[in-house]
Amino acid sequence: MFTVVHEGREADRLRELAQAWDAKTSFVLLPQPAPLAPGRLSQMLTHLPAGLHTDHFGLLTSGSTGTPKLVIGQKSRTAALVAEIDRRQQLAPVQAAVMALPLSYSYGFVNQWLWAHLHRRRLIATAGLADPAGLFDTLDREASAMLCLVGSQVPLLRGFVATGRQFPNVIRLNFAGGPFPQADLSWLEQTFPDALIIHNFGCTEALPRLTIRPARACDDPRVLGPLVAGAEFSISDAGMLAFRSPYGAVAIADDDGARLIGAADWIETGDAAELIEAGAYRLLGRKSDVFKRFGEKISLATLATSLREAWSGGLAFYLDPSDTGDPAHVLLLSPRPDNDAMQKILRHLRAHFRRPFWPVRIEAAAEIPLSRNGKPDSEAIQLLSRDVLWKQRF
Amino acid sequence: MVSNRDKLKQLLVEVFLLSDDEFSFDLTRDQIETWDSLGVVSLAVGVQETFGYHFSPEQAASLASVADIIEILTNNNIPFDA
Repeated sequence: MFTVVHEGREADRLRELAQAWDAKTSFVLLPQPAPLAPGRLSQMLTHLPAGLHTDHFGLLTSGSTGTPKLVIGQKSRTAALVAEIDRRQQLAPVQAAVMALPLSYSYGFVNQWLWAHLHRRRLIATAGLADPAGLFDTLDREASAMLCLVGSQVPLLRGFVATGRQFPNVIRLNFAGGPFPQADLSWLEQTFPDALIIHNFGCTEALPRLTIRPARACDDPRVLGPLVAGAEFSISDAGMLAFRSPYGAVAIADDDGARLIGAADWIETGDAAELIEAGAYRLLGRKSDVFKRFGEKISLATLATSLREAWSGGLAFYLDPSDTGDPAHVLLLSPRPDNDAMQKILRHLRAHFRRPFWPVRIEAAAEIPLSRNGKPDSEAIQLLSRDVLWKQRF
Repeated sequence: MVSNRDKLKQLLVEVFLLSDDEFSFDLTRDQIETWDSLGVVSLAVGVQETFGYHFSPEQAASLASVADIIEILTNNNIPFDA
């Protein structure tokens, strides 16, 4: 029997979630707005064996395919991961978790809500960057706080934070859920002067954490930190990163059925990666962000990281759906660069990459729309009004 | 009205990612590292779009300088003032 808990920032909702976690029965945390009809959720739950109907919980994710799936974790395993996160992120002095991400997002749920619940710390659920003034007031008020963000929120954050403003109350600043904002690290250090800034990597199926390192431990944001205790990585013949974790999901259910995950099963993270030295891994991008073009292996993550040297504004890539041959990538910038900035970007492309790596177009838009999790929303991007600033002629 | 020389300069700057100050009409293929095989294709498409002239594959591959482009276009009734 699974109970359904509706996501919400109100005290009643948070109390209901705490009761569901502490109860023997299993529960599903349903995002608001719900990504699927109640009937479909009930259908997914019928696929799960009886043993999962106690002491477990479920999070709904749309994943990279856009099709909702239910990721089931065991409460005791996730509590053990929280203890590992607490140790590795040195969270003992943290007194408050300030949430700026959706509660049902596995990163926010585990690293903030569950950590605060199990360690008896204050949890302040804000509207995040949808209400920057409210978020900043909370950060000014809450001493010894932990804040969790995704990298793509940083350009927005920079837009809202007045020059010279600082948030010394934040003593832990976590990033996960996408590329680490390495180009903004110095600004982050100035804005959060007392924060240990942490580079995390994981995925919903890992619920969610796989690696943790201080951001300053390595200048390459694609290089992952040490694994959480007991977890392992492998790379498939196709170059895809897979993991096994004693804290990860125990089952995944969707419309078609449920898949139980055993201790020996490798689960793909959806990222391409390479082993760069004993035990150290470097990400090459999401599965859909690594592709062959004119025989060259294109990694959009690598391109984006490099372009950060030439452009400090917002940037995102999307794949051109009208292309009929090789996949083609389009670079979207926001705000529109002036001529000097554009020339700098073009010179950077020429100096560092051969032509197949160059985007087929460079476009500008007033904003880069983000998904609920703070990542560039490729579907919404294609509905935007965009100006073509430069294009390849084939 | 934009002259053909200015149109060609704009096209080459865009296709080969040159800066204005490094462009000259005396440049040769050897001096432009981005004038590679895909650059040839891009140049040919750009010339067709800009001047309405279609390079044959052999012509496009044999181009060795900006002057070669001007010569072929001039010989095909696309004037370039000195």
